[in-house]
Amino acid sequence: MLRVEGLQKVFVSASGIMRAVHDVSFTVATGQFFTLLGPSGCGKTTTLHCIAGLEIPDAGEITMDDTVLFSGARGIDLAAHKRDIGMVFQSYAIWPHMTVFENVAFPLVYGHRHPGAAEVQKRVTRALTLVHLDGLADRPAPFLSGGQQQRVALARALVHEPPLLLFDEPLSNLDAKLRDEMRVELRQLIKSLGMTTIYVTHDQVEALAMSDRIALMRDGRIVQEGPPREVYFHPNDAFVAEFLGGSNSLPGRMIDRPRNGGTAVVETALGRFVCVPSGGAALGSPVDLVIRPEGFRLCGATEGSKPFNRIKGKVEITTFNGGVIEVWLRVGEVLFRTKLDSFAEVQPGDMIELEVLADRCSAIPTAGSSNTAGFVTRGHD
Amino acid sequence: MIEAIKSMSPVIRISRILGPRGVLGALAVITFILVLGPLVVLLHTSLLSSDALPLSGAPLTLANYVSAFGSADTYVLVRNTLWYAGGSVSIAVVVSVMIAWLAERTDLPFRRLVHVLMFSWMAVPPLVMAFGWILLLNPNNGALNVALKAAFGLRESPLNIYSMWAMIAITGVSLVPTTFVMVSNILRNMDPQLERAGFACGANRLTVFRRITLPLISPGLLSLAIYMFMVMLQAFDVPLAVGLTARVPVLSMRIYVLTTGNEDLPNYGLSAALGVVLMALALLLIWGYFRLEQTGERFRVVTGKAFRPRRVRLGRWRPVMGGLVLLYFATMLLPLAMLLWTSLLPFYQTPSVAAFSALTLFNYRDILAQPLVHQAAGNTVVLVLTSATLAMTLASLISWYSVRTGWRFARWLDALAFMPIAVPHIVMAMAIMVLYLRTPLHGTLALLILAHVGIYIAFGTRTMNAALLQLHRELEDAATASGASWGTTLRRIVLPILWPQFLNGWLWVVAHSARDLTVPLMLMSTGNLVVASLLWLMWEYPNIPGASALAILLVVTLMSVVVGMQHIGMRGLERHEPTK
Amino acid sequence: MLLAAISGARAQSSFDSVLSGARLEGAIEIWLGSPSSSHVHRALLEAFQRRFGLKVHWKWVALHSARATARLMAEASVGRVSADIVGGTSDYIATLSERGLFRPYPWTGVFETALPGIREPSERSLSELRGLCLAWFDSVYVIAWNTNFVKASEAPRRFSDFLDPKWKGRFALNVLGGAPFDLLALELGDADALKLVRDLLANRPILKSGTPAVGSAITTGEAHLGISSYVTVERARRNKEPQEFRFAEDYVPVLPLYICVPENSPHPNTARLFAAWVVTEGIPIVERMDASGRITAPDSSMAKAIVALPATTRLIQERSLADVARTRAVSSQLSVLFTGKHE
Repeated sequence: MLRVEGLQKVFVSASGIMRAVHDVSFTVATGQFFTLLGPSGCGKTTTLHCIAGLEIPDAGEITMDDTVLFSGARGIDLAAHKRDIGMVFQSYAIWPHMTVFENVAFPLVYGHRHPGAAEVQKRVTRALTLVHLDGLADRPAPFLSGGQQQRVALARALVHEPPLLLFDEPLSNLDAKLRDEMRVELRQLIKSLGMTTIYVTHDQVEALAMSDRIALMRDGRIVQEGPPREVYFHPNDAFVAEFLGGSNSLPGRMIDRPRNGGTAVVETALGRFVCVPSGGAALGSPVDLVIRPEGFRLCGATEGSKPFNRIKGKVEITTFNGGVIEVWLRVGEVLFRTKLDSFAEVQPGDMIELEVLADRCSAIPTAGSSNTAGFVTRGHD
Repeated sequence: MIEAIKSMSPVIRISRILGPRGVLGALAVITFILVLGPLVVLLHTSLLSSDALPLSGAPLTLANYVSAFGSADTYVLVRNTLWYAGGSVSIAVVVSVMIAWLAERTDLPFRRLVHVLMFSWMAVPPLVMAFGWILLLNPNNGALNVALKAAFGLRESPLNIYSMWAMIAITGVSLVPTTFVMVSNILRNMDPQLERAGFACGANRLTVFRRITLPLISPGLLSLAIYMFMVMLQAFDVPLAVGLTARVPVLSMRIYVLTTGNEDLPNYGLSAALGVVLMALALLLIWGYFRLEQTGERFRVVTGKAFRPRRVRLGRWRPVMGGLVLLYFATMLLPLAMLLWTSLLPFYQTPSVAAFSALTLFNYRDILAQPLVHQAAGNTVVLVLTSATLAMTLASLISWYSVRTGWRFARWLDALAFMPIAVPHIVMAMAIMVLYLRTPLHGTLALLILAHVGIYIAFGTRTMNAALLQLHRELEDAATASGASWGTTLRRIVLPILWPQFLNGWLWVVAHSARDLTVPLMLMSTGNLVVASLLWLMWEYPNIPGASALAILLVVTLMSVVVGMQHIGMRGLERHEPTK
Repeated sequence: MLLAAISGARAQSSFDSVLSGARLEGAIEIWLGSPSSSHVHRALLEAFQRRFGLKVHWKWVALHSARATARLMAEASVGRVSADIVGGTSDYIATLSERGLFRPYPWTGVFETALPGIREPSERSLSELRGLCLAWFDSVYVIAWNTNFVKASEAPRRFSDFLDPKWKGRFALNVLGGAPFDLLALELGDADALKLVRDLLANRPILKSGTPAVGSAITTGEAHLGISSYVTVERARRNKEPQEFRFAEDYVPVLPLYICVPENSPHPNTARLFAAWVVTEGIPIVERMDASGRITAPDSSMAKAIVALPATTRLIQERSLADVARTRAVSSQLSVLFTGKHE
């Protein structure tokens, strides 16, 4: 229901020209939870603000259903306050001089719909109930905790039932426990209301947990877009791989690649690996083998050896995490970070053999920057 | 601040013109009228010889600059001026930061009283205040000296007001009410979370104040300091009263004497020459300040998150701090007490038991009975209310554009609105007179209003700039995203949140507009007498007791206005403070 | 005889036309800084209206000549003078008449019959300014002291007595305009007058801006004595303040103040009638209520005091425009001297 095409936004400052958003295009279907994920400065917030109307793009088109919100070519720019959206800000932006009720009622009272007082009362109460804040309607805003303020912000965004919801890193200021809870609750709520959502975050855990589709952004462009599983397990390039959960990386060369789908074979210094090709890796070209920490299996002592997809090395560090045991394995010069079933009895100093599961490792074209071997991460855990 | 390249799709701009940009245009026109005219007259006057009128075709000359700056001792005057301005502003800022922090942020006892007193004292014309200090501290018959000599059997008077240090000290102390209001504003919207984080880390109150509060409010303080410094560079009341005798000349004093000395042909050109030099300085300062402001982004502190201005408990320091504030009160009350004493006598007499029998309310009765006083009072009310409202409203809008949008045009407008700080009030008044000579406004109260609005917009923009900088823009964005138009956002979100600063600024302009002597004198005509002109006329007679009585009445009036405002305006705010 | 009769008749008819003109105009706007009290204004205007049987809607703005100048010049430049009566010193009159604001008028000729005393104030002005203005009253500079701190026997007798070390830090001087030292320069010469001031400054005077400020400094005790003006002291004495004064034995500086009716004023007839009346029959009223006087007015107590002075005491006044130019120059130098640094 929302279509963004060729969005451009450039900022000029004393230090030069910065392309904040460079030719960004994507589509969000009705009822979809769509996330823009990336490190700070990647343009995700600017894109969101362009959709909201708080920034004016320099070129491109933004259409919501049949309404054109912005069109550079046709010279259309709908004023921000006329766009039918709900937005939750990173700072929540709860107005301190009003009560909870007044905050939530604001879009109804001052927006372009003007329901009567009784209707406003009804809707605000319903919104507050949805976010589990019933009974707090008359509390002055400064008396709310952080978590409560966040819910008020959510209620305010929902109260006028807009077709599109925009979130700008709404959970980043909550403490860890609250964040975990809200992640689930937020998604449940949105899904139950069937609202189309665009969510901006730098937290890959959030993105993976909540989204229907993720678009990874870097330096103003979308680098990869897809459902969470696909983006996580089959990154197009090193950046995506490192940003989402971190990955182990092994340089090599693709020596076999099937014509239509299927697996490929990559030759590396540590042996051959069968893997899934990604990002247009070509036969014979240098590739990086990308393996998620969850892509390993501990080989039993009595198992036989295989000529490929095996690594053998010495355990350097183990961390018991309850459900998972993190094992840092040194294989020659390379340090791998792996997550194994916690029932495995592994101690530092042990020599173990791990199988690399073929459907959990990808081969991506070698990028200029990541010629490193070993575990690299850019995202937040 | 960064702005987008406008190279693509200019058509789009049109859809957004009505609303923010349209109003900006109107704002610019008004500001030009109010400010540019006087600035042009300032420039022109500085280049005229003494007997020519501005905007006439008289030939230009640099003689004024030579007269003002060309004498052998100019260097000494400039040096003294810098010392005087810098010293008094420093004292005022230090003292007012301390008192403002105590009153805004801690559980200081009688904090409401602090507010009321500070605002009321602002209404005293500096000339009259200086007189009070002289009555206290002059070596020949100063009341304090007389008392100390009697108490300790001294032969010589221990205190001598005629020195640079005394000048700086009494000016600094007298400036505190003015700066206190500005500092309060800055402290008001500071997120106490940041201080609380400091306490949580184990820092004591002093450390928190030094390492957290102070750095956070530095940009606002700098803005304030620049403003006050510019004002003090031109102040001549205390230098005339004290500095002349102390032989500590400052530039403003020399220029005042040269200008007014020749009573029949006042040489405004000299004042204008000084004004032009100060304007260059102001441009420099404001450019530096704007550059600094860019880093001020990180000082943005009101976000709407966890906005709970809880007060710091002073604990066992409470009596000490309370005592220090009372000490300041006492220091300020002494000269005011002398004024009160004088106003109750037919003429000044050294305070003594015998003099008590001469006390009389005659001066007050006389003043309150004169119809001219009633007329002047009515005019004053119109003058101060209109000037304050117009100045603060225009200043708030200019600040909003300058801070929020960062458009270069808005920035220039902001700088332009600040320029009148460099224009001596004498020249401003004359500029207004000359500019509106052929209009029906000539000789009316409207001229005073125009002059005062032009003068005080500079204060307004500094105040509201600081306030807006501390307001997170997401608070406005959220309103826009909720469907509110630009005007609604300003009215329903920005103004209510910044209402305390706006109100403080408004009261400040009311007080300063009421006490200003120069503009009403220059533009005096039968229809626009105000209390300040009457006060001056009494002073010149000399009817010092009558003038003192009028000054006391000014203070008392403003005190009741402030107390009234506190009830209406501040109560809304107290609602949001936890009762602990 | 016939000629006298005819000119007398013409004069009479002139006066009649002024009077009837005043009746028609019925209003007047006065810009005089002194007297400043509205009580005095009302008394004067009521007496004036009674004297000539007029009904006049009057406005009096106590605009000091310094500030009135700018307004007057500005208004004249666009041809809409709003003042009927203004006042100032010779310097002021000279400057503004150069701009055509004042033109000569046959005051004596028109008003002598009705107001015989008009000849003296009319002819008191500098010869170059004859007919432009009428003498109003004078500032006479005297030596004043606070009786609580200074006895008459020890008070200075000459201005140079202030150099005595026993007055160090105890006496007050005015710095605005340089009076009376700019006038003293006419007698002593510029160099000696400036030297006197320099020497006085070395004796640490209390410096005040304006002679009224000197007067109030003496009353409050900030200074024990000083150089003040007759009017200032007299007002203080009437208010029972502890001040006394004497004229200096050697010189008595006098600065006359004049009033004029500007060209193109809105109510010229009323203005001229009032001007002529107030400098003659108005003087006793002003002196009674406000202590201002003129040393040449016959009924003025100030005049009587001056007459009583010994013959050795010289009155110093500007007697020509050349004198005015000299005092102006000295005045500027004095301003720089007063606002200079500690020697």
